[in-house]
Amino acid sequence: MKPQVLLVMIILLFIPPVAFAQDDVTPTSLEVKVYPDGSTLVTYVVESDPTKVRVEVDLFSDNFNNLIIRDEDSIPLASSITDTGLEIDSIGALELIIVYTTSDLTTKDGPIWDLNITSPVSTMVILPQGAAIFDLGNIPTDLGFIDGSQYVELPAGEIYVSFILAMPNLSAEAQTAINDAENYLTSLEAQNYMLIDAQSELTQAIQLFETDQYIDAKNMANQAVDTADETVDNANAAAVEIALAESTIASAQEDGRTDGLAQAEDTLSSAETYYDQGLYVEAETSAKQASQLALLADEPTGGNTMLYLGIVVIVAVAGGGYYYMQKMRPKDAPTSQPTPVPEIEAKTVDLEKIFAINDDLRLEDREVIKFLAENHGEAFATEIRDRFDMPRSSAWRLIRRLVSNEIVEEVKVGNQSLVRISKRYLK
Amino acid sequence: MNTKIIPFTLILMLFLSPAALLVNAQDNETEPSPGINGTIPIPPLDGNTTLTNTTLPETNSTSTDVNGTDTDGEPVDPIILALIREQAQNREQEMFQLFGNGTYSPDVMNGLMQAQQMMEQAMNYEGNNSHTAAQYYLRALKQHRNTLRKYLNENPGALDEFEEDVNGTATDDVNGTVTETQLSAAQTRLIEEFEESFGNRVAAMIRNVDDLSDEMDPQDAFKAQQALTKAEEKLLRIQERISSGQYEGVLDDLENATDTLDDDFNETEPVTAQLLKTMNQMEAKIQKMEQKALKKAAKGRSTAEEDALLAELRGNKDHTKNDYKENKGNSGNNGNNGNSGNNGKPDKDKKDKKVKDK
Repeated sequence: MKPQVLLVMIILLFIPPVAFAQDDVTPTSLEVKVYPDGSTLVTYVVESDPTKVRVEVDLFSDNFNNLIIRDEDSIPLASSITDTGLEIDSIGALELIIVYTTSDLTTKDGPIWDLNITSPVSTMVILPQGAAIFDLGNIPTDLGFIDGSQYVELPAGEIYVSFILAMPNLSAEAQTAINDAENYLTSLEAQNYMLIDAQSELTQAIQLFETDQYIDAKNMANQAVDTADETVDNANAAAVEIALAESTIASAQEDGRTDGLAQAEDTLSSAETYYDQGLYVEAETSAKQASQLALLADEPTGGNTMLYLGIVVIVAVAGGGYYYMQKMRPKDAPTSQPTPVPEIEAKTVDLEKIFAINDDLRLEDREVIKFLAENHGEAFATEIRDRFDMPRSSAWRLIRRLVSNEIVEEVKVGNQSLVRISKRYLK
Repeated sequence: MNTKIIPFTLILMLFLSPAALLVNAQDNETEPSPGINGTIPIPPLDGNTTLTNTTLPETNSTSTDVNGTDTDGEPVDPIILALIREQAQNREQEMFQLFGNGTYSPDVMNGLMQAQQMMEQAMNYEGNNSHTAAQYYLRALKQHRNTLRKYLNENPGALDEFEEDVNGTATDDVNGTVTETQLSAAQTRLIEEFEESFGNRVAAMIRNVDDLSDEMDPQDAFKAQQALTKAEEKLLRIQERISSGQYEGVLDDLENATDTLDDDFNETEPVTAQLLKTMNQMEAKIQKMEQKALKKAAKGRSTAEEDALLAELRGNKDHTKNDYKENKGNSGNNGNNGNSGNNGKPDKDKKDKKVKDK
């Protein structure tokens, strides 16, 4: 083999393969802006041979949309797709600015996005706001932020950028969940509910947070809220059963069915003790048992004379006791009457004003406000929950939002929470 | 035998050389490849892997001497290196926050440890080999990504933590649309301008050929003159059609005229053909710049930038002609290709300045 031929072949070996060998254009710059849905806006600038009427340019994807090509004076140029690429009617242009959109450049696996391009020039990749870079195909020549978006400039060749749209801020999310749970539990405890299990879970959530187990901490805090909801439901059910048992026992007494009633009363007393201890499920069970026992109570076998005598004695003692209490009570002593519900004046709610001032209200907030308006401006929280079939925690958050926006006021009425439209919105 | 093996081997290597690019594109074997990415695969490390035996494979442009200093890798700008480091550190912090003290598999644990080792290696290299340091940081990033994948495969529930705001698509940022009418009107205007400019260019080229005719081979000079005359005739016919408003097919005819001119130039000897094509491009650029300067002047704006570029282009043109003359004078037909090397392009520095000024 001739040495000259060998030399040529060796030289050829060291010449890198030339991509995008297009005689009539010289790539100048490439910018790829990535959007949260994985689509990209490609801006490709090439120098064009001004002696040419038409030039061919290779794009970076087979599929593209919104193609606009302009020359150096921003004059739009026509183009057509050919087998080998894009044929542009450059008509003497010095520079071609090719802009198009495509979703072909990105792929996604779980939360991880990958961008791949083979570029003949140094390429700037602009990522969506908040994106976190997880891999780069090469050492970047520049890195920084444009309008709050991370950009990276990579040398010509295989351009590869791997990123995640938003790394979860687990610490902050867990802290928020714990704070929310704490507030929620406090609000329920203010209504005299005892939330033993929920508080225990909240404590666990805090401990998990302190040991940097943020996901578990967040989940545990959310679980505490659910448990609190469940506890409140149990408490309400127990209260209903206790009231029912009381009523059943009273009926039995009225009917003179006192035989076995003492056992019912003892069971009811246990139910009340359980209730006071926050053991609502046990309280409900005991109350049901008390009702059952009261229903089974029978008239005593001792005859009616003794019964009547007993009644007379009880009534006399009770009457005497009442008279004595009335007599002994200081005149200025506070009565133990329940707090009267502050009456709202019979005014109509100015919905237009509410919606005009608070134009960013959520749909569900608006619906609740309308509901309140239909109810003369007020309703109990339980009524709102029932009306919209929403969980207690959601209703609680919704009411908190409305209170913080000063659209409604919350008034405690016994164990109940009365929600009423603020006076400023009443006509 | 040997005389056949050597060329055969060289030919084989020649055909295989583009594949070398693809070798680097393969990802870590333990993970699905995200696609072609020019990074080096991470060597799998066993549990006994220590800091000292975590080394980069020698497959890239960087190699380090025994002292760990740069030998042939381009040093990385300290600011860029700091930014890459920040990225790697942020990801490391986020990963630890994501995993917390929770339980995860040995695979995930190993992945985190490898990333940590790479970070330490990168820091060790920072002082004396910025290129290698940057590569280690990038590999730490990649390792974090691979570890995250493993973790998510093992804990699919954790995917819920990645709440994505997918609002926003590229179409939102597309600036306007161009209608067919706008395109057609723009094309008509450009055709008229191109036809006029082509005519001027042919006239300028005739002058250039005249100027260089003493140095050119007489046959080449004749061929060049003939090619330009032919182009002039074609242009006259096109001009007539444009004048009468018949634009249909004009673009094809203009393309044919320009291509034919190039083909005819190619009929001359290669050095002369190259010279003629380069001069043709330079004349086109000079005319473009002259038009631009005129338009700006008409609007009362400064043309200093265009004037400077024009002076440079004209200088380049004269330089190309002089080179051709000198080389032809010195070595007959064996001179250089008549190209000054810049193909009529202004200096890159000046062009960069122009871009920045924009």
